[in-house]
Amino acid sequence: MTANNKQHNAHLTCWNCPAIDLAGKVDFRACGQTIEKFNGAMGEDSDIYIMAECKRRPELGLFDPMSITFEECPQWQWTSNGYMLKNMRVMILGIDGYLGWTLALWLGSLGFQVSGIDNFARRVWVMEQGADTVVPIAIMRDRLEVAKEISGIDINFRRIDIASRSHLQEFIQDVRPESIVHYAECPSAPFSMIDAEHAIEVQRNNVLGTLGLLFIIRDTVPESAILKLGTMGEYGTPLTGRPLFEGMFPADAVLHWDDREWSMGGEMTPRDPVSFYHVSKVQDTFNVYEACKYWWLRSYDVMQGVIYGVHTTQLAADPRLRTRFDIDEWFGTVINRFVAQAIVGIPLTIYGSGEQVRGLIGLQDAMQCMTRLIVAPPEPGQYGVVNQMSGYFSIHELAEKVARVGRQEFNLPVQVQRVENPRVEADRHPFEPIYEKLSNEFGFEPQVSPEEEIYRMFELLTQPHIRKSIQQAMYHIIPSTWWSGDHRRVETIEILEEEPAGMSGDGHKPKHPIPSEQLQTPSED
Amino acid sequence: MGTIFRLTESNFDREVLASEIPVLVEFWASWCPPCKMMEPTLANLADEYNGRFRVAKINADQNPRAAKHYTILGIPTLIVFNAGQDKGRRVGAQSRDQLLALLEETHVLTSLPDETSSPSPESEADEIKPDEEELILEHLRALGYVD
Repeated sequence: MTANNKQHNAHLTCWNCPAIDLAGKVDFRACGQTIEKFNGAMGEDSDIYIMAECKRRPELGLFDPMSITFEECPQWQWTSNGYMLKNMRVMILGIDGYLGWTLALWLGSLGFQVSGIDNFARRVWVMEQGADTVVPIAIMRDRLEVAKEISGIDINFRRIDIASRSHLQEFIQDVRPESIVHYAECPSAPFSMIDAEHAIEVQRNNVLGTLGLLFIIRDTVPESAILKLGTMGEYGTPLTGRPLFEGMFPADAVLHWDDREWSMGGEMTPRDPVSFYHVSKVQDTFNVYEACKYWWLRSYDVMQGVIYGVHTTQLAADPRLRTRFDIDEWFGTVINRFVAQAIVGIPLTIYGSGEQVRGLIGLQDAMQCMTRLIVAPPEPGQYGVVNQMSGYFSIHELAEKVARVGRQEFNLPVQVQRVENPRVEADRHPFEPIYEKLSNEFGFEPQVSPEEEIYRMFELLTQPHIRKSIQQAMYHIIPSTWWSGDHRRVETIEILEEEPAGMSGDGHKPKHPIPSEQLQTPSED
Repeated sequence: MGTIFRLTESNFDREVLASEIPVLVEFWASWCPPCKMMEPTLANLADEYNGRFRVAKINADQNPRAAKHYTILGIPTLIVFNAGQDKGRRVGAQSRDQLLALLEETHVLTSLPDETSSPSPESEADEIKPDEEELILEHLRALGYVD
């Protein structure tokens, strides 16, 4: 760790810092809205400017919020993840979940003051389907005790449903978080496609939960940042091959029509959600975007690729600190499911052609991203979007990766099968995601390759008691929820022949974007 | 990457109005997505045209008097200043080509000797500009005529 590398947030100022109160005239208006009202209120000779008061250093009095940088402020201290606000208070909504619990321990170990809420809905949703996490997890009371005892991490937890606005508001008022990580959503596309009840439950929890939260933040901690989890699935996979920009078009993306041109800069890119769950995330996107516009809330929308993995140092410190690991058709993400299938000898199930391409990010890398975002808060009114992924692969390539590690390192006879695709989605499509901001602006560097993390997953999941859980849960892996509304187990189309070593894609960084011309090649399927 | 100069009301006169070269000024706000997306385009222009015109930005919320003085009705507003005068403006996100068009309309680029102006044939033939000289030298070096 050297101090010579410039930290990604060194140049940010109190304008970004959650420890300030903006005093003076704050004028909420849209980009094209006149400032006449503002001018009228000021009068000709008025001296009203936006000034700041620091809640941590009241002795500074009123000052220009852009005059002190994080690098200069004694409250912001150098760390390997960037300057960090001393004992920064971070509240994690959905702290009992796969990501929430992992982040709580991760941040706690870095010296953040972590608080969180959960209503254990994820445990209920999974168990309601007859499934369960295959890595055993402790109940929250034990998790909190062990975190404190083994890792010295003190987490301020309250059992609250995000929909209980008065309880949530009270807790937020009490803790006054400086950053709020919003993981309290149902993260499953197939779960939202089971039937009307599930679609409604997912949209109610996600959309209304987030909408209520925005009002609470406005009324209690408007200077706090909201890191809201979105998904790459919000964009869909446009067949035109248009790049998947980070939420908004760059200024040099131009619309040509009728011999005229317009810059699309700053306009939301089209969204094309692929399930009722994804629709809920798109609706959230717009609600958060509007709240930033109307009330100067500050938000990063984190468009996460498909997440996978089991490991961080903090999770591995004690079996009672492990995070959940779902492998069922509803909550198991693709690599997680593949590894479980490889261990119990079910041919890995790729849906349809397996040519669908997805952006990915490992658990530990996702934690690094979140930390770097937390310490570089958005500016007042800023709705920022990052595509959080470290590479992308076709589902077939992913299956081959898992199969290779299973065969070569763990001596497992892994096979891959194609099954009917229960989803309504393009089998073959161009894919050119843009994911530059996290590395260019936030200093993110992926630390773990898919192969390394897959290896760690095999190591953990092949332990006898976990292998046994997977065997008990294996019937929930094969999908039976069809986007059409059918409920029947998908049929195997074919078992694929083993690919010779070194044939399928490797490398952590993406290869060339998949161009739309490739669609011209007739599929052999 | 080029530097976008950060202006305030206190240095506006010195850095913009008294500037010896033209200045492209963006009035921006942190809540304005198009302003954020203009940043790389502006930085590239600052880099590419370094020394020929400057690129600067001023926060309209933090500097309301300047915003009022220049009648900023929408954000972002991009104004070209030359010799202390407001020469022309655009409102809303602009592509690189649109900004270059603005700089041409306001004679910032056309007034530059080696950009888009069309010098007379004689002057073109007679005058070897420094970068051309370097190119010729490079060519001669490649042919082995000079060391």
